[in-house]
Amino acid sequence: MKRVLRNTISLILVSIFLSVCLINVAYSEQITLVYAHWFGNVDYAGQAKAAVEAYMKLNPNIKVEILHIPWAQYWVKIPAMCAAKEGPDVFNIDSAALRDFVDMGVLEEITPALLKKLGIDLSTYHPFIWKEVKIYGKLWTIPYGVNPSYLIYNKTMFDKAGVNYPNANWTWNEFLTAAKKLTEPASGLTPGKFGTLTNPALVNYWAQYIWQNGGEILNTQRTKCLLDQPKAIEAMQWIQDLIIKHKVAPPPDALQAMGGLPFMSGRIGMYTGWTGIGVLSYNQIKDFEWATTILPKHPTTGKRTPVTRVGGEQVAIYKESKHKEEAIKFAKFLADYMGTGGIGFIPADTKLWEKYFINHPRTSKVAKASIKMLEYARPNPYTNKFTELDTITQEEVNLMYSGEKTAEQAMKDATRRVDALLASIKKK
Amino acid sequence: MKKRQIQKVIVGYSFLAPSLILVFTFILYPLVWSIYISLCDWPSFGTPTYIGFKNYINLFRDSRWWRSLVHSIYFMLNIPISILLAMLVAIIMNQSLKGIILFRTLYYLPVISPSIAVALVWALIYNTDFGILNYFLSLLGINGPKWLASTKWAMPAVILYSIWKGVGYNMVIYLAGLQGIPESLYEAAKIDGASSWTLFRYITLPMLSPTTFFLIIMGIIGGFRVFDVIYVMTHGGPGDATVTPLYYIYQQAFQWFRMGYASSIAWLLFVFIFSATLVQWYIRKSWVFGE
Repeated sequence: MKRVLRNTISLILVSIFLSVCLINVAYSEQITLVYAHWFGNVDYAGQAKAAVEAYMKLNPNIKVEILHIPWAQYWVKIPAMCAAKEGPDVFNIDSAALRDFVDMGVLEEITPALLKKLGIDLSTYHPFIWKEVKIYGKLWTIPYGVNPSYLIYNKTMFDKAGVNYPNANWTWNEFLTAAKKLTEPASGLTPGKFGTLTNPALVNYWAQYIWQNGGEILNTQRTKCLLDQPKAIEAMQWIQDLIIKHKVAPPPDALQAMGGLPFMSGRIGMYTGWTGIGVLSYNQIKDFEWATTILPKHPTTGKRTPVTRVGGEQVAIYKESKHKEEAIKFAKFLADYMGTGGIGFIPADTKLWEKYFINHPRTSKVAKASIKMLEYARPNPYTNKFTELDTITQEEVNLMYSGEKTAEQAMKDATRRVDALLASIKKK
Repeated sequence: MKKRQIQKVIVGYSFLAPSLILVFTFILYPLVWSIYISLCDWPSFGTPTYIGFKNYINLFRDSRWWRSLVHSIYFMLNIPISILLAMLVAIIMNQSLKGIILFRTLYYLPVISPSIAVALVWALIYNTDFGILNYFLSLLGINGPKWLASTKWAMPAVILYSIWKGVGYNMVIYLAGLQGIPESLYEAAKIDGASSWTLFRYITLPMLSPTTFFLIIMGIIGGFRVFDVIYVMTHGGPGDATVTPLYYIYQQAFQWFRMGYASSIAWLLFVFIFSATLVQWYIRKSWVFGE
């Protein structure tokens, strides 16, 4: 009896021991990846979540934890996490910050050899993508989308004002004429309607007007600001006139009061700036009809250059990730999945265009104009400390928009300040 | 005896230990670290590079920093206006009238309203396109300014909002001060034939001077540290017309990744706040009753 009891207890203990060992083995084979993003849009975040779930289903030994950090805190928290050697394995990154992150040394270079080893083929991606995302000639992210600017217009406002819809033959002149006809001044507490609107951000709006006019933002080496040149000043003067002289665009504080997507207010006739994935919100519009077309061209140069951004539609791999290859494979899967979501951008992979962008119900209204504008795209003049450069130019442009500085004054002051910033980067 | 004293000390510090650990971890250590960082070039990641006092030298040459300081001092115009208004309102609220509690609550409501939300509402009030402020001014035949879109009027707009937001708090402090003034002083003065103005000038005002002193100190410290209303209403604009020291620290540290430089601004700001408080402390004897 005693022997039976002893043997039974021994058997139970051995079973427990073996079970613990097996559990440990199972857990030690499981890989956990942390994926960080800032997505506030429900459709966009939903697509990312679905991508993660699909990936985990296909790879039962991999667990992907989503780390959501709101945009405002993202650019503080991610560098802090990387500094603490606790960066997420995979994280979305914006083009404006990419160069700084590369210089921080926290991103893993995605080499052609690594891509070949992992069987990842990026050959069907649109060639413009590489102009935007490659830094120092090297690849640091897996991009999945791109967006140029186009002309979006409020058809209902056009119908009410009896103005013909925009077409491919429009120049800046026809645009201005239509904007004047669409504008209704404010009356008492009733807000007015504007033919168009502006934006103080370089890569969201006014860079395209300078380029179309034959000017430049920076020199080729990105060491000198060229905003004080006549062509740039001329273009900015045209924009300032929209607000101050012709009064067809809202002043800065009125613009701020309209929120993040002013076109949705129904008080704007047309917008030519970069809207990114704004189409996801525009699809919710019920109060008026809208449509898109290509940008008006410059009346003299005939240029139609848009502002085009890969922006945040790319994911990077943390250099100190303990599972780099798994992270890259997940990043590629995520990129492909995001490209099939119809979530507002042109998929980087051209194979996905027909089904998931041109004919997708969420993006069909912007697809034709977007893809056409991509033909005219040129990369943005990103530099190190671009957020500071952006702040400088926005400050000067806002003073120009409010009429406190002339276009020439604002551009000369912006040039002086940007040159000082670029010089400080060079010294490093 | 000595052994008992040592035991008492050990027991005392043992009880203090949790708090001391928290103070050391979250206050003292970060303070010392920030002093070191202010002597470094550090973009908030990687190893800080020691550069000595270069950040402070650059700061003295930084016109944006000096402008932010001037903006802060400009913002402090709200202090005397807020204090005078609060004193007046407190004197009125210090009556035993029907419904007085409702009025006290109404005046205090802006204090407890969420800053971000009310700042957004005020931004709409100031709107040049459809804001009600310019609308009411137009009814009086006045062409309202561009408020938040004007370098001249943006700071006055922020000051006006701050007065509205802060009067309630100052009023409550003054109410407490008023109710601490002995009634016998007023009775004695009335017997001697003192007028209302005399009562106010020679009794109320001096007896409230410690409260006024406290509110001025807190107002000055708050003026140097103003951030939330700037962040929500103006983002430091138009241009840099409303950039204040704290907003500049935020820009340097969290937007432009210059943590070392931001730390040097923070320490220089501390020197200014400390100096201003010290000056106030030393001159208090000339006007604060009971000092």
